Amino acid sequence: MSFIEPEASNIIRDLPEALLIINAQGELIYVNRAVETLTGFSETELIGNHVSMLMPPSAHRRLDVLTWLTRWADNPDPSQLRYLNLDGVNKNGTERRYRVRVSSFKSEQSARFLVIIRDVTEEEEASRRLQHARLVSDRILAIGDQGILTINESQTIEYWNKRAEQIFGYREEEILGQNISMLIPEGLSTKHQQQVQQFVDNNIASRLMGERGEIKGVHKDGHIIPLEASITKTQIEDRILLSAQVKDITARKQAEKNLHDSELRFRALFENAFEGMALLSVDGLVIEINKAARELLANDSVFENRYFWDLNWWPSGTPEDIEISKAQLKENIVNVFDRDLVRLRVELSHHTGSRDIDFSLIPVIDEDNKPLYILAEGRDLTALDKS
Amino acid sequence: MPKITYIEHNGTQHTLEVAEGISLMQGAISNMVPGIEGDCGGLCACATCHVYIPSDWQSKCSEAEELENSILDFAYDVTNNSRLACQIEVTAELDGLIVHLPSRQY
Ligand code: FES
Repeated sequence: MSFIEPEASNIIRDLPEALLIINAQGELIYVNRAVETLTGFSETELIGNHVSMLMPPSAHRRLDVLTWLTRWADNPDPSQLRYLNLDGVNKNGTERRYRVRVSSFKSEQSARFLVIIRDVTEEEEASRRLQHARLVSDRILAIGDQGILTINESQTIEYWNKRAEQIFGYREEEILGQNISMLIPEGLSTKHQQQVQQFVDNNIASRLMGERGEIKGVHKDGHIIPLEASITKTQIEDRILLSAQVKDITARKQAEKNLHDSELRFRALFENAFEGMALLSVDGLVIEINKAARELLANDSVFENRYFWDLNWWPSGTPEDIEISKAQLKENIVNVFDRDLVRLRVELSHHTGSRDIDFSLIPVIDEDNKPLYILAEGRDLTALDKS
Repeated sequence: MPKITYIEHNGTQHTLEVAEGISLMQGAISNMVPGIEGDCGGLCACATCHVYIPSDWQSKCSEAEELENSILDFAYDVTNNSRLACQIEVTAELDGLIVHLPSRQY
């Protein structure tokens, strides 16, 4: 490099940055040591060759390196090049990505380009990987059945997924940057603010659904939404982010109510029937027993979880008679699934006198024919007989 | 809101309602359409929001400025239909637009 003083020339040669100089035709006229290290080519292999040896043209891109260098050589603002890396290739054919900076100068009346290249292949790959991992997790969150949102320490919403949009009725662009209080029913918003602050101040990382019970949110159209929420705290440097998963439990609550109503109706029917009824497990233990049946068992106070034949059906019988009756009843119960239906007329020695009972055992099966329950029914015919 | 269909290079379709006034790039990013990167955030400086606009829709899109064309030099597999999605504003006129995405963005 005749145009550079000897010391400066040494410094440039040993510079850790890969530096090369090309002429206006794109021929390499100088490369420093770092270029050799970076590309694997030796100085002699490079000098006199076209710069496209290091940054070859591609059938997929319109870009031509020399035009590119010429265009950017005199640009005062290299920050515009921040996102534009070039495809490179090293001696063993491996593809690389180079960040390239260029300036021009004149030497012996001819234009020269001073080019610095930095290999950013790994850096670029790492940031792509991160970006793509984020895309994948965003897409997972978007299809989840839980609304997901993140607020910062000033309780402003920073993240909002599609499900949250459906639950609360606000689109992402309407809600980002807004205060969380928009989603809390009016009278509850101060309390909610305090709770959030408490969670920020304490040392618990996450609080899961179920630990906090039902909470209430408000939809864009004003209706109140019953919700469950899990919340987690992430501190990044001095920022605290709170993320919540929110589940709309409207449907579940409705289902619970329906179930409760149907249970009430069933109870009303069961408890108030004239017939004595008991629901037994397949091996004969009492699960439920109704009022009419309990009345026949005046000497018993505990019914559930006892064998049906062990209940005190025969309060005034002799011990031998009772044993025989018990054994018969047990035999009928344990074999009921082989018999479809057992129906007999029995006489109970009740404390109000002898009762004439039309007794039946009905096996109950599910749709796969699996035994579920035994229904024991007793109709008191005494009054009927007398009339 | 205008309905826009983004078709990934593998054929996967994303039909989305995109708010007027934002760019085609923003519309894709905020709806998590894979195959668009938008590294520079819409500054017309990265060429990673490259898309193909069908010829019959081109006139409905705002025209490409010189900077866009020069940045497109960096994009992969550029054709006459190539545009940078961050330079196209979504308008009511673009309702029904189909946008094809290239096989890669960098
Ligand atoms: S987003 Fe960078 S050029 Fe369009």
